[in-house]
Parts: sequence; structure tokens; C-alpha cells
Amino acid sequence: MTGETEILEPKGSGFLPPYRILDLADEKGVFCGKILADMGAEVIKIEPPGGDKTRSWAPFYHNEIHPEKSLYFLYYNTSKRSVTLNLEHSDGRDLFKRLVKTADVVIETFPPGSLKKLGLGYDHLRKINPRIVLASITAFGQTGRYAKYKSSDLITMGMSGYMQVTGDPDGPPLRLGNEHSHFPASQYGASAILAALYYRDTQSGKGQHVDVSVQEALLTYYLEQVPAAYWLHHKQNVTRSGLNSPVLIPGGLYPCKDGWVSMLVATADEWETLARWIYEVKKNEDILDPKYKGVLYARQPYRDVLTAYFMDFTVEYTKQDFFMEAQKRGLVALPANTPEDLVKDPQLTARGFWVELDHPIVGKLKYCRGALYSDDMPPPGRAAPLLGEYNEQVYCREMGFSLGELTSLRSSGVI
Amino acid sequence: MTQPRKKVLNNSALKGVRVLEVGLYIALPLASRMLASLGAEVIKVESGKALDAAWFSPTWSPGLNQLEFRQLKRSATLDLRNPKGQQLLKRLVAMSDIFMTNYGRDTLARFGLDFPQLKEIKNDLIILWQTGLGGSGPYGGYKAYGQLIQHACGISTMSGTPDNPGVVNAAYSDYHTAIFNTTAVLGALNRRRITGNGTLIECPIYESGVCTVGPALLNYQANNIKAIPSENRHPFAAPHGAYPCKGDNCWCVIAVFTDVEWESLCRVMGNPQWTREAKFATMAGRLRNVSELDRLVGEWTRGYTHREVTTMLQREGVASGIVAKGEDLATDEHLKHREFYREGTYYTANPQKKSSEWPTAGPGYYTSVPIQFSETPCTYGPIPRPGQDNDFVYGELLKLSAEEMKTLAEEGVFV
Repeated sequence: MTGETEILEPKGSGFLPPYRILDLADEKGVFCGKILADMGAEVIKIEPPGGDKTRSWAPFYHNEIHPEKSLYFLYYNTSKRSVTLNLEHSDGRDLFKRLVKTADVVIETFPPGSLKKLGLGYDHLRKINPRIVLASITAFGQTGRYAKYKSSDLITMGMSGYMQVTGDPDGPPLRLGNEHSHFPASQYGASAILAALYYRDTQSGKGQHVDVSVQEALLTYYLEQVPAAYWLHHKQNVTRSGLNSPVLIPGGLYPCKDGWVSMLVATADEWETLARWIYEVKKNEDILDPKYKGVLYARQPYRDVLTAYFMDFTVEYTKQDFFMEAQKRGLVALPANTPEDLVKDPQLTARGFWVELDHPIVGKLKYCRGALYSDDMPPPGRAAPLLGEYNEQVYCREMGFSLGELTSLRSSGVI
Repeated sequence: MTQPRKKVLNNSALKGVRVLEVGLYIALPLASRMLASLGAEVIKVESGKALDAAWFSPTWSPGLNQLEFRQLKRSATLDLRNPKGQQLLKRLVAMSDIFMTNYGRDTLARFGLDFPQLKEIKNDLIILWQTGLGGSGPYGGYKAYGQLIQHACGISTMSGTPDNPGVVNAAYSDYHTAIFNTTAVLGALNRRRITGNGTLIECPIYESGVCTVGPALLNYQANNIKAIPSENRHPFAAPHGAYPCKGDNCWCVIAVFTDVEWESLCRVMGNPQWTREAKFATMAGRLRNVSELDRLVGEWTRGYTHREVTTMLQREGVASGIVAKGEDLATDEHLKHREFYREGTYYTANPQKKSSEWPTAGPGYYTSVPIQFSETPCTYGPIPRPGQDNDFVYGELLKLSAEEMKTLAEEGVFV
């Protein structure tokens, strides 16, 4: 065992300093580690010896069920390294503690109190490494009466009220697709970690525990609806409004030949332009009636009749044609893109949004570069890791175990 | 509701960091508001005449939303079309760490504030430029609103049903962008600490949203699969959805992932005869008969309030929750315990009057930053009227004399 850490890859070439982050997160926080890894942090995904549970999650590459072919795993773990480690095993926990000594951050999403029970709570970790930042991302936070509630994407979507404002007024509350609840909390988690590291490195020299609640994060993703304040003022509840805004006419989604287009008119001039365009195409004289003229809210009393006119009109176009024609006329309309549209989108392609990454099993696919562009920020450079791909590098070359010791750690179920 | 706390100055994560903000609407102001809560000094430079549309939100109490977007900021009014105003802004840039804007680049260039010019003023400046569809590419010059961009980002077509996409009554892509903005800036601060270098980062709303489409982007490439809208259902969980409860527009959510959870649910429901039918005995069977299952579970939930269902099921280890309405959120004990909603006063904007004469309104309610830091708790406090801090910004920071201030005011530089 050597005390020295051998540096095997050029470090510090990313945007972020090469902070070492131990990533224990499940789906609630997997995007948090991805954000930081894609920005250049050294994120080590710690998987149980049988592999992270999301390796068995659909969809799969070529629909072949295989732990290295889950597209879910591949998407959310770019730029990370993988080691296996069994936290249920006492030797595994010792090994984890040794990793904590070398790390800046631990990200975890276990039910509150679980790490403490394993002897790995924040109070234990900071004794091992006072500089460690522990980020906990859980459904309802570390404290309060719901802290131990069982949860999932759907449950936090409901408990945050997000579903109360999604869907048709007459229909059931809806959730957003792609387990959307996990994004806000993961984003806040990434910001929280970077703030805690900045504080550590400029002021205190010490880490801290940050507690992110998925429910609260979601509650800050529809602030303009002010649901609590609305109730306190009106003793009524904000609710779902369907495909279109109840007050902005037009505002929302309208049907096209091949899907949906979104459109919103803000100014009186924009209304003039739209009304004339509709008249051109549909010869609808009523649309030119002066009573419809005006800014934002002017058309609110005529919602039903105008919405019928719009639907009759937009359906004459494909969503892309409508988008292009609207923009040409100085109106704001955008297609409701599908994932296919996005992969083929000329804007994203021209911007260099797609980054081709090669994976030893599934080969090359185009991944998102991320939300941020900077000349100083190289795009993600590595596809998701194979299960335990970095065991030898981390345990042997960095921590000094021999290959023989690695084999015995493996056979005793520690890694 | 929690009363505003006195600002704690000695352990703020971003003590000593100065942010200069020139921007409008939601995503950019919300990002810098979070930085203010983390302890940065945020100076918002704005027009006191052409007011941010966010001042008029929500329509029933204009100004209330600004409790979210102006927390703890300093506000200085400045006419950026005036060359003297531009000179003052440059002097503020010289003493700031971060410059955040969502102005178009052509507008900034017209003001002599394009990015290379800013970098000349301060070499290690961190510049965050937030855009809509992106600052370049074929759609780079297109007009767009955050409320519509979210539909271009892909999630709408993955929510609800093909005939009826799931639409949120809010501009959620703006919020993704807001928190990517903070991540970008915090990452850049950490990087500057090590390298001494500033940077320029662009954060578009479009890409911020597309990143959240996730594995579906790979699934289209690998398997030519067009995403199927998810409704409230789940490929390996049933029951999984929103169910009607006693009361007006009252719903609960239930998610059953395992047979053990199913048995617990049956027990809570009193083991009615139908739960013993063979077709519901396995997950595969429940998924095959999901419509009937949902109907039967809904018949049971109708007999109870959403809170009663949640309490009964959580006690037995079944993931469940309420679909929270404003009333539920405003009175929720868990959120109260976590001090999530806070109380503050705000101002009713009136473009015809000086901002110092705007009437005070309130109390209004706003949300905490959904991160609890053990060492550097976020701070909260008042919001500024436009121009409220002119004396501080121009007098104390820029050290203009009273006479200079008076002359500039007469020339209309501070409007």
C-alpha cells in the first residue's frame, strides 16, 4: 500500500477543477453527478457488485436486455468512472471510508438515516475527512414528517402540486414524461455542491452536509403560478388549463398535420399579422373583427371561438412549415418536437449540441453536450463506464492493492 | 409562514462575490436571486421606465412574483442607451466578479458592452449569457418565449397521450435554465479560484430543456423508437397513477412496484374480493389489466380524502401521496417544519409613478431555495424597488459626488 496517489489521466483539463466525487445516487440524483462529470469533475460511480439497478432499466440498445446496453444507464452516466463496492459488507465500508479520504464530495439518495445506520453518516464522514461535502438528494429532505415517506417520480410530482397544474381541467392530474421530477433536484444538487466547495476552498477549509428535497425543488419550477399564495389570497386553487392558456389567446399548443405547434401572441401588431394570415388562408372574415384586436389579454372573452379558428387553421400545416412561416411573418411559433425531431434538428446540429461518444459494447451514439457552451468547457469525452471498469485503476494503481488482493476482494463479495 | 431572517453575514457561501445583473423575466433573475441567497452581493441594473414584465405577474396581484426574483438584490436604475449610462455600467463591470445577462448580443454591442469589450475591462470576469433558442445557428435570430420553447424541448410530446399532450400551466424550461445558470456561474467561480481566469458561458433555454429528454434521444438513434407519451402509467409498476378522492378536485397518487407493496395495498383496502382474482396476482397480470385495476383502485380511493389515503398507505409502506393543491401546500406541516414558504412585502408596480411611490403590498409568500446547507444556510430578506440602491451603487461604490449624481440624474441617466 502506498500513500501516494498515482495520477493516471491528465487531470484539470475539464472546465471544473478535478474534484473527486463519489456518486452513490439512484435515479433521483444520477443527473447531478452527470452534470458535474460532464463539466470536468472526476465522478466515481460506486455500484454494488451486481451493478447499479438502472443497468436493468429499459430502453436497451437494439432492445437486447444486457447490463451494458441500458440506454438509461448510458445516458445518465457519461463521463463517470465505475467501481464496484459492497456497502453492506464491513470490508466494503472500510474501503469506502478510504475512498472518502481522497474525495471532495459524496452524492447519495438513500432514505434519510440509512447512511448513518451503516456508520457512514455525515458525522462519520467528516471525522474521516473534514473537507468532505455530503450532498443528500431525497424525495422530501432529511427532516420533517414526510422524510421517511416512500416515494417515486409520480409521488413527488403529486406532492409538489406539479400534477395539479398539468393536464386538462376536466381530466385527471398528469405527470410530465421522462421521470421529470428528478431533474430539478439534481440541478440544485450540482449548484449546492459547487457552492459548498467554493465556501470550503475560499473560507472555511471544511465541508458540509447539503440537503436537497425533490418536492421542494419541483415547487420552485412553477413559481409564476404561486399556488400557495393564490390560495391564501383567493381561497381557491390554481389548476390545470389544458393545451392552451385561459388568458393568452392564442397561447399554447395547436394541432398540425403531423403533431402540434405552440404559438403565443403578445403584441397588438402580432395579432394583426396573425389575423391577416388566417384570413389569407381560410378566407375567414370574422377573424378581422376589431373586437379581437389588442395586446396579451384582449382576446380572453373570445377564447372558445378563436381557439376553434386557430385549430382549423394550424391543421393545414406541418409543424415545421408552420414554424418557419410564422417566424418569416414575425410571429412566435415553435414546433412541439419529438425526440426524433430533436436528433434531426438543424439548430442543435449547427450548434454542436450532439457529441458522438464511443462505447465498447454499443459503439457510437450521439449524446447531449449539455446546457452550457463555453470555449473553456470541453464537451463530454467519455461514454458511460462498463461495470467496475475502473476497479483496477482506483483500487490497485491509486490505492495500492495488488492484483491478488483485488481478486480476493472480488471473491469475498467486497467489490 | 416564516418571517424573514436577518441576513447572516459571517458564513455565507459566496461572501465577497459581486454579481452584476442586466436581464429580464424569470430564468436569469431567478439564478442571481439564488446567488444572493447564497451570500453574493447582487446588483441589478435596470430601467425604471421600461419595466420588466415580471412586475405585472401574477395579474391578480402584480409584483408578488418579484418576491421570488428580486430577493436581497440591490437595484440601480440606468439608461443603457445613454453613453454616460454605458460608461457607468463599465465601471461597475470593473468591480464585479460576474456579469449575467439575457440581452441579445446585438443590443449589448449597440451599448458598447459586447463580450470582448467587457473582458477588456476586467480580464478575469465571468460572463453568463443566457439565450432562448441559442445565440447562433439557423434559429439563432428567431423570436421565442420560454413558455413556447418548453414545447420545442421534447417533453410535451412525451407526456399525456398522443391525442392530448401533457402541458404544464407554467414555463418549466425557464426554471431548468435558471438552475443551469447558477451551476455555470458557481463552476466558473471554482475554476477561477484555481486558474485565475474568467470565462464566457452561454446557457440557452432550448438546450437546457433538451438535456432533460434523456434516454429517449438514444432510443430513437439505437432502435428507431419514437417516444410514447407516458400518461401516469409505468412500464413495470401497477397500480401507478392519480386516483380520485373525496372532495372537490381531490386526487391522490399511488405507485406499487413490488408484490409486497401490492399485498400491503390490498390489506389497507380491506382485501376486497376482486383483489384475490388471479389476473391481479402478479405484476405482469396487473399491467395487462391495468385499466380495470385503475378503475377498481379509484373506486376505493373515492371513499377517503387524499390525505387519508396517503397516511393509510404510507403507514403500510406503499408509496403514495396527495396531488397537492395550493391550499394543501400553504397549510402543510412538513413544509412548515422545513420553513419552505416565507413571508414578505412587495410593491405594486405602476409605470406612471416613481418607484418610490409604489404602494407596498402584502404579506406575500415566496419559496426558500430548496437546499438546506448545514454550514452556510441560505438567507432571505426584502426586495428592492427599482433604483432603491442608486445612492449606494453610484455614491458608495462608484464614488460619484452628490453634485455629479445630481447632474447625471438631471440628464436622465438614472431613469
